[in-house]
Order: sequence, then C-alpha cells, then structure tokens
Amino acid sequence: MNINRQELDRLTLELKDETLRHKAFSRIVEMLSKPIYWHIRKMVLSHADADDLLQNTFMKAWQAIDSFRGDSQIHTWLYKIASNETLTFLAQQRIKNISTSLEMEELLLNNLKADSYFDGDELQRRLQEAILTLPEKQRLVFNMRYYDNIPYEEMATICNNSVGALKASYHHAVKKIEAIFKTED
Amino acid sequence: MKHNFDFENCSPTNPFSTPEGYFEKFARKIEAATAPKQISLAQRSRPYWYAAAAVALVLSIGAFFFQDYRNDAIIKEQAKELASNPDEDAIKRILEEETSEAMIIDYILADAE
Repeated sequence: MNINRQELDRLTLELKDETLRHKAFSRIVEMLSKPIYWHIRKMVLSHADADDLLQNTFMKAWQAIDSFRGDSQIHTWLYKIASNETLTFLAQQRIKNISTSLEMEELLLNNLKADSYFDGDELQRRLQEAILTLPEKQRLVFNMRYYDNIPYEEMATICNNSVGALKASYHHAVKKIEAIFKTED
Repeated sequence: MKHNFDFENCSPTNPFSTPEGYFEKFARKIEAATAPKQISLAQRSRPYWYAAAAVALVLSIGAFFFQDYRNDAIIKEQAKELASNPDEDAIKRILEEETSEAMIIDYILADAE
C-alpha cells in the first residue's frame, strides 16, 4: 500500500472539526478508494459488486465518523469496514443462491468469466481459481498479504486476529495453492 | 502446457481492471452524497412561522373570550338602564344599538333566578 501516512494523519485530525470534516473525508476517499476497491474486488471478483460494496463502505464510514476515535489508523478502520461488508455480502450470496461452498466457488468463477474487466492471462486466471478454493477468511488474509503486502500487525487489527494465527493462515493458503497447481500439472 | 506457480519468483500482478475514470467518478459521487445539506430560507424560517401561528392562535382565543365578556357587560348595562328608566326613548335607543331581544331576555331570566 503506497499511502501518504502524514497526510492521512492530518486528515484524520481534521475529521474531528465539523467545518473541515467533509473536505477531509472527500480527500480520504480520493486517497483510499483505490486500495480498498482492489481489496473488495479480489474477494467478490465482479466489478459491479465491488462498486456497490465500496460505496457501502464509505457511506457507513461517513455515518459512523463520530465513533471513529483514532485508536487505529483511518485506513485500517476503513479496511475493517470493507472486510466486514464483503464477508457479509458473500454470506448473503451463499444463503440466497446456493448451499455449499463448492457452488459458491462456481458462482464467483462465473462472475469472473462474465466480467469484462478481467485482464489476467491464463496463469492469473488459474491462480484466481485456486484462491477461490480457500475459505473466505483465508482468502481475505491471502489477498491482503500476497497482493497488498499489508503488515501482519495491521492485518491483525483488520481481521481481529493474532499475528501468529494470520501467519499460519497465509502459510497454509500458499501450500494449498501450490498443491492445486502441482495436481493440475 | 505446464503452469507451475512459484510464489518465490512470481511477483503479484493485479489481473483486474475498472471502467475508464471509475475512481474519479466514484470520489465525486461520494463527495456529493456526503455533502452537508443546504437549508433553504423557507426551511430556516419555519420555526418562526410556527411561533407566529401559535401567538396568533392565542390572541384569537383571547379576543373571542374578551368579546364575550364585553357583550355581557353591555347587556347588563342596557338592562339596568331599561329597568331604571323604562321610557320609550331608552328602549328605542337600545334597539338601535342592535341589542338583540334574546340578549335582553337572557339577562332578565338570569336576574330573576
């Protein structure tokens, strides 16, 4: 994540001032909508769903801005909201459309195939298929670490989990994906 | 064709894309959706209108009861005048002042009780 932390810290302070709040929040949206979008998108795969969830994330953050006390960094707080929104959405999709995780995997794969905003090559498509075999929380951990290189300490705050558990989860995810590629070859 | 996946040597590539100008449009959409609502002059002055309506209502009720009290006083005055000086001029004058017959009867009955 390439974020200007100093500017974010200043904007976070400005959020507490009602006269500066809207402008500061708009700037935060400009700075963080991209990384948070990719975070969501890698979970739901389709652009339309990622767009809805990104909007929900920022609107919920705006409505709850008074409850943000600055215990964590603003981007960590937003990642947490986005992760919760995404996991809730996937759980609702599961209940709405299907009953088993295999079927959920198929649904997401179909979303990926139907989405015109996927530019990956054959290897990347296979990697996405392999990632989809992971349980949702493990997928979240894998994506944050593999694609965004988020420090485990930050991931621990976002996922409400210990650093040790997240390291183990990532390690298992990598092993599973490697095993899938070996089996296919 | 083999597709070995080597985590050590394969750098992560984001395979997804978005529509042209998506993030700029998104930022503008959120900025508009979270903008403080502009309060119109009519909305701002609404409490004053309510207060003015309440004052007008209180004054109307007061005026109604005051008028009633004033009518009673006039009737009593006229009836007294009639009783002390029951000449035709007095009756004529009272009738000219449009005091109704019913008002006079009411007063006489009340007095009789």
